[in-house]
Amino acid sequence: MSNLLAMLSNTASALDAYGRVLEVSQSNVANASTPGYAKQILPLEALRFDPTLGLPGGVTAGVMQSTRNEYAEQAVRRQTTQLGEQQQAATSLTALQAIFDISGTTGIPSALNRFFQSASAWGQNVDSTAARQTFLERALDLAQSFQNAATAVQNLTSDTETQLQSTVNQVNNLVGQIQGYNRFILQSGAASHDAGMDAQVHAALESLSTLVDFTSTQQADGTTSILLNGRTPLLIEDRQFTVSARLTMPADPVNPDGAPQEQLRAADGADITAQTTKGQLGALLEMRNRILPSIAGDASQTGDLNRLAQQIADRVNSLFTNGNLSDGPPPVPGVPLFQYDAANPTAIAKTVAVDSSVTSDQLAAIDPGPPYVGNGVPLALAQLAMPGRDEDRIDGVSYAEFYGKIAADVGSRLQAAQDGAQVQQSLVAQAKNQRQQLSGVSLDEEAMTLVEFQRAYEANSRFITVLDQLTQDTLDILR
Amino acid sequence: MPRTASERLATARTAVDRAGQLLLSPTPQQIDACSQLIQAAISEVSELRNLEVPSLPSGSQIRPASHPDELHQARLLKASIGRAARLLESAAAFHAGWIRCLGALCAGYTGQGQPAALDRGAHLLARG
Repeated sequence: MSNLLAMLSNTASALDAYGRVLEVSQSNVANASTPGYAKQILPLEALRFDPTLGLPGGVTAGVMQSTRNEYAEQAVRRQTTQLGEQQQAATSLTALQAIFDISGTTGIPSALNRFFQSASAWGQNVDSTAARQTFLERALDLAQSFQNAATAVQNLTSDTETQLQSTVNQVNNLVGQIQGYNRFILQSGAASHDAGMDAQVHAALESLSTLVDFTSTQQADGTTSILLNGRTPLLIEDRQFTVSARLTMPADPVNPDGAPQEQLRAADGADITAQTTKGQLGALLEMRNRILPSIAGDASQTGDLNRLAQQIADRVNSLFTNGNLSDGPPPVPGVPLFQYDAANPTAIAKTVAVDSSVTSDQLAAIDPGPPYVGNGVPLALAQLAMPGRDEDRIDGVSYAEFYGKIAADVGSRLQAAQDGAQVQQSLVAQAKNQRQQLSGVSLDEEAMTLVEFQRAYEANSRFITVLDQLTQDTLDILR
Repeated sequence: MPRTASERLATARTAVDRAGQLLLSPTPQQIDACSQLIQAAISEVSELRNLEVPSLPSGSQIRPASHPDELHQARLLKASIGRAARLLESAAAFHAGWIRCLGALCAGYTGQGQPAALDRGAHLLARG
């Protein structure tokens, strides 16, 4: 009778264990598409069987285990951070490239070309009122094109600042979410094996990895600690340390009226801008503090667009003021054509304009020389397109070439970011597949697999090197 | 009918792109298949060199404009190789790191605080 009861008890225990395994399986299936969810395993354990001691054997459910592999999770987050950075850089640079047309059909290059053409036409027909008027109109267009470009870069700078603020808010919000989970864990003390909460924490961490580079550690009590860039605390237990972004002037600005730099600060006020180079936030800081100021200037630099505008305005003015309107006697000297806000070197492109008091009949055409040239000024203006003298160049190149270098730099940065983003998408996909492969694999099986991996990597690495060299040789021949 | 240089480069690129696809999920079997594809690409490019180089007059320079298709295909191939190389490097780095983790998990740390080397000799895996 007792054997029969033991058998029934065994069967009931086994059914209970199988029922729990089935529940875990059902939960895994139901959460197959849940962000951050990791498959759970409930191992079955044999109970001791020894009839002589009255131990009836049977089976019971063990402790539930997660198949999550933190090493693989970190690899996915690392690649996601780089993807976020490349994608943000590509987006920002696409907007910047739209301002700097390199085809020569719009914007500054087109206006510059038409300005030189009109000077040439005026030089060929120096007494023509229409040619003078056209030249004046082209000068207005040129100044306007600089103003437009400077305003567009300024607007992009404002947009970037807004995005930066929004990204910082997202970082704080995501960390705040995880802080909420930590608080719950600390209060309830039982959430460390909650697969649902674990999924939510990891989904939030993955979202955070698009924005910034960070290190996360799961503590023994189940809470998650987060360090920005591996060193600045964002979350420890239930204490969140918020970061903030604010515009800050450098201590000793070269241009006191120039734009301030965007500074990222830790909760204790420490400047963490320099260490924040990755993720969307890193890309936005690079755009706001380095790329845009190199063009439009800021408190620390003049900016290439302002340098170009000033060089053109000064050189054109110099040619006019050294020329004469009439021979006299006494000779009537020419007047400057362009004006700009000289007090603020970072606002030259934005403020450069044709002096509204100058009319077409006030444009000096005579170069008193020696040698005296009646149409010397318009000819010298036309020659600025293909300069033969150092004073007609900027950084050793023509004005059009200098502009081309600005545009080409933007274009090559954009191309690199787009290519990088494309490759990075593959690397994220690869990291996610590797995470999948590592889930729930036994250590013994893994050790054997790794031996196979090492052999395969070495062989492939040699083949890739050979193929790359062959292709480079082919490219060299074709070039 | 002999294939053109442009076609050979395109074939090589297709092979490298397929290798890149395999490397997205880098199991040992996939990586082995990847080697075969890269070897096939090497053969294509090697053939191209054998065909093209002797036909060049000594000291002559081919202008890009005279071979725009070939140059375009070669550049695409170069980009594909770069992508495949990044994927291979990334997968290798991932597994190198994982080997270190496994070493620490299986055998602890050395006296210098480094993860112990993974002892592979003592493991036997029987499948089936």
